[in-house]
Amino acid sequence: MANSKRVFAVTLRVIATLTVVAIAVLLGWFAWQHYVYAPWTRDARVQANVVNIAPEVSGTVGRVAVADDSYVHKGDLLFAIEPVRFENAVAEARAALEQAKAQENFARRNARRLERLPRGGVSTQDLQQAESEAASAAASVSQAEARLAQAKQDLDWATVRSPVDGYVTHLLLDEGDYATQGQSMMTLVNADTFRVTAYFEETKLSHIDIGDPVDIDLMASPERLHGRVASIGRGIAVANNAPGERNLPNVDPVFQWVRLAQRVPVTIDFNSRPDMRVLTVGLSATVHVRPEQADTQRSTSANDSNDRPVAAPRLEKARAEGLAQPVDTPVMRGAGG
Amino acid sequence: MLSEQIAFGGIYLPLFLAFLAATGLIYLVVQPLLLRSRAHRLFWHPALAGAAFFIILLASLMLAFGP
Repeated sequence: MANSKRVFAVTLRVIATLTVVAIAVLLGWFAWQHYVYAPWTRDARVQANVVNIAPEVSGTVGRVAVADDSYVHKGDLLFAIEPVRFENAVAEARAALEQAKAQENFARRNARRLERLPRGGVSTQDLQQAESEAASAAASVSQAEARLAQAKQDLDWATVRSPVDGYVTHLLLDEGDYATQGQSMMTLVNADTFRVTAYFEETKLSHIDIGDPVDIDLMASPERLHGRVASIGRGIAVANNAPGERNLPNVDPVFQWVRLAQRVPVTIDFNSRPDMRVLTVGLSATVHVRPEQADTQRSTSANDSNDRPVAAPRLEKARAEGLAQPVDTPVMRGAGG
Repeated sequence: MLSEQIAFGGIYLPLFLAFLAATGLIYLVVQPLLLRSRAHRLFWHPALAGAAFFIILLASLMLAFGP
């Protein structure tokens, strides 16, 4: 009797131990799956289109109309090159045009006069020469007109205006500097193109679709921002493609026991223009893709046309190109989908 | 939802390390209590049960507060 009680007690203790172990394995498995395969990453950066402003004409900078880190609208004056040389060029081109017109007028009248002379009054050679001179003078007028237009354009280009709404960044230009044609003098950050590029492990890509809602946590701000997946990178560099000796592929021997998942850039657009006080190109961010919310948010936004995300145009373009998949359609990206 | 990182003198560490540390602290507090109450006698293999308890704590924290 005592022996059977002892066996029963030991059995209960074994069952209790195995139960706790089973619960640990189950919870550990869920936690591992959630932590390792859930589509989130701490490796994300804020990005925007950066416009390098270079003058179309060279000259001394006469005026800088903006301050560093200031906001400019499209069309606002950035800086101006001393216009005297270009104004003179316009005046010269205008005079050259007048001269060409006068010569063309004379040549045309001369040719007409010779044409009207009676047969034998002028040699064929003289007549052809007069007609040729008239045609040449007409071409000279066109040439002078083009030069005048170019001189006016150069004068216009001496005033450099902002091509986008954005922020002046890292301004080193000052009055008196010599601006060289085609050489970058100023940098603008396009305020309409702020986005987040998140670098996801390739193991997580199967959980991400274009259009999925995303939560964005900037390291610079406690405020949570929201966006959508706009695109998924379609290529990263492969080190083995670098040519080696005799242009053969330079394939590194790797130790296959330890492999690192490749990182693929995923572009995320903000749903609405975020607070610009906290948004700077290069900021660190943590992003969570929420595929489970995709259905709900899509149906909501479809009913509310006012809640149009910033990402919408790019999403529509992606869908038109067949890149964006419906949420309920499984995607095999590994197969090039 | 907690922040996904903890700042440590300007170095931002993943939240997982915080979970690990919190689990260790909780375990250090709870284990003597369990020993004092002789709860380890309920298990056939107390060390295995202790390890499982540690994993349950860690996984629970990750699932409840993790990213």
